[in-house]
Amino acid sequence: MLRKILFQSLVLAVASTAQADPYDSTYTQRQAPAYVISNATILTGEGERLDGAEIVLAGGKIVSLGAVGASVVPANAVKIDGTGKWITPGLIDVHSHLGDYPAPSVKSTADGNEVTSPNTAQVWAEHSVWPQDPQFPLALAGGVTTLQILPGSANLFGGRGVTLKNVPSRTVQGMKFPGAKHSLKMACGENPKRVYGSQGKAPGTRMGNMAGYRAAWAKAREYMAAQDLAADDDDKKAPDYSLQLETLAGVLRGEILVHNHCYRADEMANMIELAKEFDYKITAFHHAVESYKIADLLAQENICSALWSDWWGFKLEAFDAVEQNVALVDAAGACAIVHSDSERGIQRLNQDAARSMAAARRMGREVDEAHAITWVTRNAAQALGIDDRTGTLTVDKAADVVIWNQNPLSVYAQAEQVFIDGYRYFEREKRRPVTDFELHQTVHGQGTGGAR
Amino acid sequence: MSFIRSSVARTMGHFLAGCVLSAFSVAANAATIVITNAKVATQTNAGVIDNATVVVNDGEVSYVGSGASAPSVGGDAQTVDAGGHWLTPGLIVSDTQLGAVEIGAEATTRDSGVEEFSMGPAFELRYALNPASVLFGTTRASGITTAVVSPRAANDPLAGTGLAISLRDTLDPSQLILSDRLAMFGGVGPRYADYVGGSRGALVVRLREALTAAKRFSPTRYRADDNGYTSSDMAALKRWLDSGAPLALEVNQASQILQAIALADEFDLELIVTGGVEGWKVAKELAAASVPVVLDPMDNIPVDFDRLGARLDNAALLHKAGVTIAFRSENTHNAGWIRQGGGIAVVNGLPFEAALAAITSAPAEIWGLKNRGSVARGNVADLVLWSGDPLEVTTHAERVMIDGVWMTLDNRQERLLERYRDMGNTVTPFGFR
Repeated sequence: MLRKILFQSLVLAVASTAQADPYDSTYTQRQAPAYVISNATILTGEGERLDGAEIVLAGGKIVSLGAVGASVVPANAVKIDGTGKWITPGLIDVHSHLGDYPAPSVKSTADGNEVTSPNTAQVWAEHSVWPQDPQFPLALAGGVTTLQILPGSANLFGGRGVTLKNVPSRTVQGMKFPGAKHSLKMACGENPKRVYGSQGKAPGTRMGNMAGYRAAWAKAREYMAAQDLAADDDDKKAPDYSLQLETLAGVLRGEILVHNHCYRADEMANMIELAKEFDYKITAFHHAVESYKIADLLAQENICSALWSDWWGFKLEAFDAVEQNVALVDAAGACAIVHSDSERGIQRLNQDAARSMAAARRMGREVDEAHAITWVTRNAAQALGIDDRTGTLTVDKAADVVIWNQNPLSVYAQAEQVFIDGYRYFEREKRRPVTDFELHQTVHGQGTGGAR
Repeated sequence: MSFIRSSVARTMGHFLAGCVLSAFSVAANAATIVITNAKVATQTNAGVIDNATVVVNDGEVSYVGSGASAPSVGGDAQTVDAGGHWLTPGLIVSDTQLGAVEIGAEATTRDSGVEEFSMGPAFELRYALNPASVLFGTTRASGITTAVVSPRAANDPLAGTGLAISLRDTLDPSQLILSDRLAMFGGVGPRYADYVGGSRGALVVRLREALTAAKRFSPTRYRADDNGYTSSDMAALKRWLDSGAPLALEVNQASQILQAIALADEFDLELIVTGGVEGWKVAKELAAASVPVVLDPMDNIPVDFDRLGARLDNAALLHKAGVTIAFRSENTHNAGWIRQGGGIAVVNGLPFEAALAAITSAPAEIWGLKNRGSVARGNVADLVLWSGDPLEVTTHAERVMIDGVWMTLDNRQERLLERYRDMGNTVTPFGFR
């Protein structure tokens, strides 16, 4: 068994290091012993709760899940007593700027927003990621195993986002989630019109925003048609290669997922019309403070909403917040995700989900822990197109697993152990990645053990 | 009041500054209210009392203790069975912009500090306070009954005087204000150094110069170019120095906290540190100087080079060293996050009682708010009944009392919820719901 597992890991390692394209992932799954965690409360991320259950991790995968003793445990597996512990899939944040806006947050590290043109579809967030950002291990301590890094929202088209595994690495390629699609960050509303309007440039209004998107998509449609024509007909010349149009055409071809910063209900409706006009799919609206006003429409269009539990009021388009936003979207049968867009929030996504769960209950909708955890696991994985590999505790999926000291839907919950592809990257009070930047700073070495 | 040093004059001054406007009558609080079967966090030496009864009379707490020993009240008293739930003092949030900001990014609604005009110590928030702000409703619903409103400097290391306000339901700003010149606010971090040429070295010199000049300030002999401050700034500094009200400085770096302590000592000022991210490194010095710290327990990110030592157990380490701590929130709109901050501080080593104190009795002590922050006979009846553990993110305020009156918990967010909660209703247009 062990030999088989080792062999599988080797094959995986070889497969994922064989570079097909520049900038591809070089992430390699680390060798790790098998683990068996017993007598725990398990929230599967599929909406189920298993009490007094057992999970076995081996070869980077979940190999079994169920009643204690029902599974074949590999010899030499490390046994972990899960009594009193809760287990969830690794948490996934679909909206982060870690690495692009790292700490310390000073001018020389502000690499998250290419505020030079309303259309910067050509930039890739991964090219700004500083893997030594000390905020990565803080998110890991909060149980986050996967995160999407997006460009900022100053532009109509901010650029490509990237999905990363939250592992220590010298390069961003070493963090890239193998095979995960790129995303395109788009932004509605106040930000683009403020940034460019104040410079006397387009867009200066919300109608200017819409005109900006439509013009760009029209161009992308022509570009794609010309490429397709050239591919079919040797006499036709392919259009000049454009980094910007490659991204937009990638969306039209369904290869790149649209993640759309958009707060107001009416603007989301406009964006839905835009997507119909140019025949592309919106994967998720982000922030979406007013999703609850059009929850039926979002369900009908099968668009996710990536939301905060209660953050509000920092600008007018975030003024109509309700604490039941997640609950109402969820109740309408639309895909609800709890996201952070915050280096603080990403450390406690479980608490934000807990707050939304409590808000649902306050309005009389019964939501249990097993369901609430899907907002930060399965649903987030779906929006990143990686739900076939992570986001739920399912046999043969990645062993991205968090052991919590108690019910994670609580302010008192702490992630005690965090596994990514079966390797234990975090053990509270014992072991966590330390970034280069943190070395010899006087955080550690004094006080109670040095955890930030 | 461990942080107040021995100067009687200063203590008296503080007392006066804290009580200027608090003596007004509240109309609708004459009724007697009896709350039975509560788990009361008294925030006094009585600690937590299970199965307790609290009697409220004329806006004040007239009894707190066991139900068995409770005095009998008249038949017209309202009785509320707390069902064994937590009853705490109304929460006190430190260092917000409540009533001075409606929408963060909207300059026309943002009056928490001057932005394109030079005014420092003379800036007074009391003229900017907007009791019609919808934030009062949402903030009350989060269990907060008292707030410290502090100015935000845009171009001066000294930002002006701040307020303590009650979250009473009134449209008269003067009725909200408990203290109109609570403290002089300012800071000595990198942002503040930018106002004086970019170096902390200049900053401390500048502050000393201003304080020295203010002591002997006379409006008839003062020339504005003496140190760059206008006559009204200098008058405000002198008035504040004479009042004995504290100096609240935003300072995070350990070495700068020591500079602030030295400055306060030199001018015999009562210092309050806000921010205090690296406070744990100089906890002993803070305790020795009786300087309290107002902090956010979630501040664990090395945001800049002044805060490289940020860590989650800052609150616990300061408390352990004997420093009085109070909590603030990152956002005024989400002032209620101080409860979550409390829970996080507890997980990281702060005793539960100290975390609760940091949002009730400790800020009352730090900001000199008499008769608030604890459930005791004679105290203002600001009380909150919780659905569960008050520091837990899954609980909420079930009832909120201010001045002995149950507040409505209705607010703009509740109205939005009611309007949109039923997507299946095809009869009533949304605009009529």
